Amino acid sequence: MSAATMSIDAHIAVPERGVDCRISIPGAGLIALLGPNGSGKSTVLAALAGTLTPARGHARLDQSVLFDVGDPGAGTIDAAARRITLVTQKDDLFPSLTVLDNVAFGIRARGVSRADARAAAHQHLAAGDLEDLADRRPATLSGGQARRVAIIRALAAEPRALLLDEPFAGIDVEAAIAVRGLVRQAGRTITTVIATHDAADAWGLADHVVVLDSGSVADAGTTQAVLSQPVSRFAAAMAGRVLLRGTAAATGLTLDDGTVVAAELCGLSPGDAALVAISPRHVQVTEAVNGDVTDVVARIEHHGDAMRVWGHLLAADVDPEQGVDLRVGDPISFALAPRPELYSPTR
Amino acid sequence: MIPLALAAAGVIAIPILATVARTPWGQLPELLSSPAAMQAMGLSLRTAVLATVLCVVLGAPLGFALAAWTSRWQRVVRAVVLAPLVLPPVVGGLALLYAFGRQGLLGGWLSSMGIDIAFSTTAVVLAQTFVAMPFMVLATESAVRSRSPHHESIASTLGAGRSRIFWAVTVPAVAPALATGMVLSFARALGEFGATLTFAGSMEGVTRTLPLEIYLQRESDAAAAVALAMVLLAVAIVVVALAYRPLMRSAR
Repeated sequence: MSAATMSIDAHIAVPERGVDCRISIPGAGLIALLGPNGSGKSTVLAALAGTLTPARGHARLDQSVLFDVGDPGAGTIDAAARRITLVTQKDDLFPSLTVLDNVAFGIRARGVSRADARAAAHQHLAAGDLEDLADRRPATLSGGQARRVAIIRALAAEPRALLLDEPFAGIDVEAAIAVRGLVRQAGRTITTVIATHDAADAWGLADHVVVLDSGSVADAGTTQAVLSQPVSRFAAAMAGRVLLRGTAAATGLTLDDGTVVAAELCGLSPGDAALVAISPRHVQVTEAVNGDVTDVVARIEHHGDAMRVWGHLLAADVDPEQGVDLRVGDPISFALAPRPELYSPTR
Repeated sequence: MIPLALAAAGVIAIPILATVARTPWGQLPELLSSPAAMQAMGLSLRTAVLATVLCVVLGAPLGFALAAWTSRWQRVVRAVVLAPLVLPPVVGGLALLYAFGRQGLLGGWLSSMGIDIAFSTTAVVLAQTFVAMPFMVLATESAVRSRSPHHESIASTLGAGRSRIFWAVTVPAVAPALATGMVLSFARALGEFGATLTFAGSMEGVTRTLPLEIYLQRESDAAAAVALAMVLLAVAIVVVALAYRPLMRSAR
């Protein structure tokens, strides 16, 4: 983790958007706010950036107060003075300015002369391999190009933190790869927060994940902890896993109804409260007598070249050819390989 | 529908075509270069340009203010400010007399300071500004109002203060609408007749603008009147073509 990253401590309450959440993140490079549409991700980013003033709460970036509704002395710091830049999913670029002047905008705002700001903007564009676009108007850019320019503009303003709302959504695959590179680079130098609905965006990129459910925090911690050992059903669903809750036993996890799911104990003692988060990729559908868990087909989803078979307890990703005969209501058996690892609800 | 649409176009196009047909094209240079015509055109151009400048300098800020103002009095103020759009110009002229005439609300005080506005070129400019200002206010306010403040928000996160955001983000975004408002204001000022006649009179070289000259010549020298009318008609068509181009462009 780089030295320039800052801690975030916030309580953001915006009742008209159903948001009331407390976020506390130690100095982390790249933070992912993970949640479905309407979970309050954009509202949290707007409150941190200062484009929206919450009804209640406070926020601090390291020691500096961004807003504190309860403290008239601290009050609300203007967005312009926070030095936190925001890139949204909308068209962020100013249509009347060229790409170069868009990138120079934040530099100019710091009091740099027009010529110097343009020279610096050229360098930023060149570093992002976008110098060819310098004289273009935003209306002539593709969605991916516009997103990259907006991120470069946000970085050129030399912020203390960079906030990105769904940076990979709505652009083509090539552009998403370029944006991912930009975001990764940003996270190495400053505190960077991305809001996303897709856990895949957090894996390999984020150091820290905060899961938002209907405006409040469902889980938070290191990416590894939250995505592979989630403690709430909701966080597990966001991470693409099925959460089982029970008691550690000699050979695995005993569920409330007495079913035993084979699992590694991983340091827990029999009798301890335990969780296991099982990825459907690690579950196979087998002959009814051979499996670890017997179940009944409850739902079948098709995802590209895979088919997800949901039982009442578990789910398995199977080859569509193998699952072609399965119907809702069929008895099935799930086999777990590799064996899932138990963990404590307190992680 | 089509016959009605044709009838509508006819109501407007036929009188225009009739004017074009009546224009003595051969004598046009001679008629337009007569001293009276030149004087009226010169005065009209000067006063309309000045009135347009006033409309932009005062009307645009008023439009921005009305768009930002959220009080319930906003509607009342806007209704008053936009009244000249629908007010008969002669009523506007009377109102200006009651305000700035020698016996008027402010006129007496101005007069005591040696400033007499009524029946001067200043009065012409004031009358034109009075009737043309609402076009500028309306164009500005509706342009600002129809914008989402998204770009202004983003600009503030980039560290820009209010005045930089206003000049670098908001003004360029509403510039096409401001241009439209400006062109419409100019056209309205150029065509002003009733308020000018009532508040400024018809003194050759001082207050007798193009429309007043046309009205005066219409009985004594019909050819001169129609020649000048042709000038205003041409200006009107050019103005409309200019004014609605940016609107169409920004709507796309």
